[in-house]
Amino acid sequence: MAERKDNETSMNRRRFLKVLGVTGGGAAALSGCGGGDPAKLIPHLIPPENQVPGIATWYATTCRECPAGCGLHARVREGRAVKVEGNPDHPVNAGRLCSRGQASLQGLYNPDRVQQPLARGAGGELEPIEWDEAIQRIAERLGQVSPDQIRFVTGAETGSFGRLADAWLRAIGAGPRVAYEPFGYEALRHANRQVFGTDAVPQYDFAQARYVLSFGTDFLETWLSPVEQARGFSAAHSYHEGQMGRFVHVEPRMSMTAMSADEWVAPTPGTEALLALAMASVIVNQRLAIRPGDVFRVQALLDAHTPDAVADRVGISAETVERLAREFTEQTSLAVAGGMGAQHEQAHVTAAAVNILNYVAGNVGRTVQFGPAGPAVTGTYSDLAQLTRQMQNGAVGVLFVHGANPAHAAPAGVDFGAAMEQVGLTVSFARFHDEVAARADLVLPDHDPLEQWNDHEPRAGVYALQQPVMRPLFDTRQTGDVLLQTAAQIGGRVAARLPAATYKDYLQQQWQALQQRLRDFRPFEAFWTEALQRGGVWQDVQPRTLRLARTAGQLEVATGETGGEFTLVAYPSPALYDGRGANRPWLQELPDPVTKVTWSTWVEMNPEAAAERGIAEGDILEIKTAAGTVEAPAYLYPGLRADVIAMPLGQGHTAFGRYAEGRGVNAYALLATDVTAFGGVSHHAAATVRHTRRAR
Amino acid sequence: MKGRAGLLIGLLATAAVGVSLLASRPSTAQDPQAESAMVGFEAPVDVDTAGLPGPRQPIFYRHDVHAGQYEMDCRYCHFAAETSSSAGLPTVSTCMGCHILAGAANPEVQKLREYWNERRHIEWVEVHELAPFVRFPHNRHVMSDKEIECQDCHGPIEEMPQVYQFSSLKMGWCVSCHVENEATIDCTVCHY
Repeated sequence: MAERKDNETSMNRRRFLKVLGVTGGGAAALSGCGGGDPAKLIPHLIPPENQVPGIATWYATTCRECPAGCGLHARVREGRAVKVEGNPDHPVNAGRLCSRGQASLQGLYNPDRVQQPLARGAGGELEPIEWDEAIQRIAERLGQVSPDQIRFVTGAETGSFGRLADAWLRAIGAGPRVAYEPFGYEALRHANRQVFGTDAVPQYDFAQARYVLSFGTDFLETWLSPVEQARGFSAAHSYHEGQMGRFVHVEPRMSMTAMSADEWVAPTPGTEALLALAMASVIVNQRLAIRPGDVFRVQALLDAHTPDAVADRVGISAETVERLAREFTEQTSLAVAGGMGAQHEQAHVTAAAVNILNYVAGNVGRTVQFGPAGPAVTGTYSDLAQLTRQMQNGAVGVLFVHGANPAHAAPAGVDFGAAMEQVGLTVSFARFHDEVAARADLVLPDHDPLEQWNDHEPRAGVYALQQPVMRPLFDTRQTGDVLLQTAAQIGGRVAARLPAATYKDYLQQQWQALQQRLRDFRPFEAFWTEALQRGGVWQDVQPRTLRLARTAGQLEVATGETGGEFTLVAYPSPALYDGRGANRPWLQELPDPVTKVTWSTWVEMNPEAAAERGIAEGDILEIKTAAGTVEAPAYLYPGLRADVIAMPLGQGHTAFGRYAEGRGVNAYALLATDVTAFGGVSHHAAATVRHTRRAR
Repeated sequence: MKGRAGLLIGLLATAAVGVSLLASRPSTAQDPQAESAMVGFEAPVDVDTAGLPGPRQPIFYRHDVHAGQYEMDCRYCHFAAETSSSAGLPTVSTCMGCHILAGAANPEVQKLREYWNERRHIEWVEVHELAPFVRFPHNRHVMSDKEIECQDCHGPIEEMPQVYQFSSLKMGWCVSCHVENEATIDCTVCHY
């Protein structure tokens, strides 16, 4: 009966359409509205959990735009992340988030993401490949080369992924992983090893320090954990208990951080270490603070660097040094060294001298907090330089690169990209078509951090979780899963040593072990769910009590002056960092806090130095160092010594998508490839300037 | 007791009861012999969708049968009306909750099952299309103390075999209701 009726219906409909064809006017009545196709309402097949249409769902996860690891709350509407904010419960950022964190959404929705696994075809072009085939190809190649020819480069990976990559490399018998960060704080770690005998980077408690002395540290922009430090600084520096905090800055260029300072101290560039030692000698010899028992280890060093002895070389009067030393001990204080003002050849000496200054003022354990000892999580530039040499010599058979872009963010002379040509099989896990992916044989895109399971330990006692806030947009696969599947493909002993089916399983195994370490005896499900909801687990860590190491007094104080017409200072861009933010239009559009320039690279020059050479703003200058030559427009900036020019890093990509490619110049082309005494890159270089043409 | 029993938002006839009743009734909506255990409205047999007002939908889903004849609560399907700006559309799994048993012989139900079996989404045609620059939060209206009924805006939906736009949805219509009910007529209350 129903069948018959249906036929009748279609008959009627057919008849109706015939009529419609001639009347024409019926079209509007059929569509039900004036113009265009009617909108469609498409419900789900099955209701997703925790989702009401029109109501946002918030997920706690972790920002991975820089190693600081701030907590995020991602706002998700109908299965799409639409906004990220800081997680108010997170100990690192307490609800705040910087511009780079905000722009993480533009990494997720970036039009230049690698959307499926690719392989280099016969014609040299990248062509789509199936995941299974790619994994099989890797497994086969791993069986063909000797294990010591297998190398893996990652960024700073402080959590489970780093441990999995290490375990995977051990299982296949390969050499250690190279964890490369362009700003790896090599000088600071070198100085900590020398003065305190530990490799760790401490937590600097700006929130307690009413007196901050910064030796060129851009702690409000990119250094260590800028959101946390900015929060602490604004709390301690603001007016309470009847007075303002005080911030004294020592730097050849006035950065955004320097603009917040109360006092500017401008020693001769490269002599910051002498200033710090002279202050320490005043504190010890005038007994301005409780004298530590082991101060004898540095006594000779301090006696050799009294204010009177160094005043001439530093260019600051002995009275000023004594005043600074007195102020430094009158209230809770903190001295920091690092960042762009102290990235020169002798940066480790500056950092060591500042360590001694903090130590004799009683700040170590108070505002300088070293957590429990742990393995170093970041390698050094010297590891990368060594790896590149091995690659050039054909000593690397298979190279994996994940979360690092040494083909752009390393001195250009290293030429990691060209060295990749000498490697049998190069595998990039890049999410974007960056400089490494452009030369890799296999590009196996990782999920975006907002699409993946992971964790991160920004500092001791903070275990931050990452959870997928939405389904992956493309045919990408989490690199942890690719490693596990490759191990399974190899099978045998290798697979047996990695007992996890998926990366999420591996992560949960790690968290089960963590739960035991934290002496939490609830069922794992309860611990895990609570950690997911909060964004992680954190506990207070008792700062380690550190004594001066035997090597503390053996500081060879040399100054970091470069000579040359100008000293070029290359500094990380507050928006683009080392260049990883350059493919986010929001960050390109963000005016630099000092120059207000967008979408470009510039050279900062003192107006007086420019006037002497007839250079006007916007004129194109050719900057030449021993390492290379670039051209960029001049920006005249009085907040710079007359013998210094400065350029931001981050631009000048030769790949990395439509927003980054071919924009500005890469200041890394000007930096020497030599490894400094502390194992890093010198971001200062002797430079000459040639005026090539007028501004148009 | 308010009129139009079962459709009223204030009434809390649990939909689950309706479901179990439905599941036990093998009759189809368009079967003229189907005797209604419910009181009041009985949906007419209506097979000619072309003759009905409102846009034609991929499945001839009948509000007059579900909401009128069987007195199902609107919020059984439009589940988010009290909590979200969007009233919510039933997921296909919600339909299948009843129709895995109910109405097996009905060709329109068979269409629904095809969607479900093939895991395809149903592309309903939007009937009430608001201008993109205006916002209408269902929850603020449904939950207001003015006891606004769904029918006040959507018309006698429990008698519509195929849904059509009943009210003009133009600004004058919104504002006059806001004035009558002493609700705010601040611009930014809708245009934000």
